[in-house]
Amino acid sequence: MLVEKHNNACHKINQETSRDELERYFSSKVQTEFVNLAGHEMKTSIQAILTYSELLQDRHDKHREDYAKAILRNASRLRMLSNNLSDFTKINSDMLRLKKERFDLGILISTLAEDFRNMNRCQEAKIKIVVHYQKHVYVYADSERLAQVILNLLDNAIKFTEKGDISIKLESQEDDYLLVAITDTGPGIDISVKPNLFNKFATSSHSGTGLGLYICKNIIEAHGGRIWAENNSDKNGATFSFKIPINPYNSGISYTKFLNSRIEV
Amino acid sequence: MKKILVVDDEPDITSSIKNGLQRKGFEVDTYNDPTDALSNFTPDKYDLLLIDIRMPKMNGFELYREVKKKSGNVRICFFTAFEVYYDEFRKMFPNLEVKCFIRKPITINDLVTHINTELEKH
Repeated sequence: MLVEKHNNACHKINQETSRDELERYFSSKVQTEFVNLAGHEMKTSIQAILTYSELLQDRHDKHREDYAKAILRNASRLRMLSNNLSDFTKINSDMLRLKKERFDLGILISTLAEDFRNMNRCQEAKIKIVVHYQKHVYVYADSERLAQVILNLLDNAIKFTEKGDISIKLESQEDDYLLVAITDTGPGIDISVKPNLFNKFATSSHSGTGLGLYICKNIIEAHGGRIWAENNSDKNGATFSFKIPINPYNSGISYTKFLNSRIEV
Repeated sequence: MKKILVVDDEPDITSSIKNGLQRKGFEVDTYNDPTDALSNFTPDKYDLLLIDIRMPKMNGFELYREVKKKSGNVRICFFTAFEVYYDEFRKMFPNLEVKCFIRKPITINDLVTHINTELEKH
């Protein structure tokens, strides 16, 4: 009887050990894969910066301005990657902090769209970025973090759009929420990827590190909002949307108080 | 003039590498979509193919296998930012002979040295 008990216990321990081992194995495999992907992203951008810098050294080249733009574009990609890596660490150690202020989200979005248009291959690829927004849509939120989310979604949209339009819609909704929706005309979201889209390390087979959307989700949720994605009903492209409360502390506290409290900080 | 075909899904890579190689006296065609590269591939048109590995629709290994069917003696260098691919390639295609793996990032001068070494081998 005792022996049998002992055997059972050993069996259980063995099972648990192998489960632990399995988990450790998968977690280390995922980490290795992630480091490879991050390395791949880095090297690709460095390759572009390196070659364009070499080309830029020829003073008589007519396309020097284009080279400088390409260097800026790739350096920005590297910056986004390094920001994503540090944000990932912050999220994992529960250190993501918002710096909230009152600002006009409409102005922020149109500025971002303009910068994005200038920096990317929109002109060559004839991709139009259309912004639909009402004027003076104020929100009490972290403007830098929301800009990061919007740029990330725009970046995704352009990555999957060969030609056509990308539209950004900003709408204030009746339930005191603001809705931002970014619609592309790319191939849409693969059904196999969709359930894990906002999970860490979820990425398509050919690009990205799988951190961007995971970070977006965490930023939006930290604002008390929600982010989601769906394929467009006309089967042409996808729409990524998020909703955030206009003022999370709307119960009788005026904006002035927030502004004052910010000045005090 | 030696003719090179560059296939890479990153437009910034194809466009800058094309420009850099042209300055060194090569004639260069580029594709960002490997399936376009395959459907437009003409045997004996190029002295060397420079192919990225991690691409959508078709990865560099698959493109290599398909191109090889069209032209048995085609010369290929993989141009990759992915370290693990060499072993993966060996496992996937034990019968395919490719010895030229050029690792990104690399300067144009070093890239040209690799290309010339490969061209001189044959």
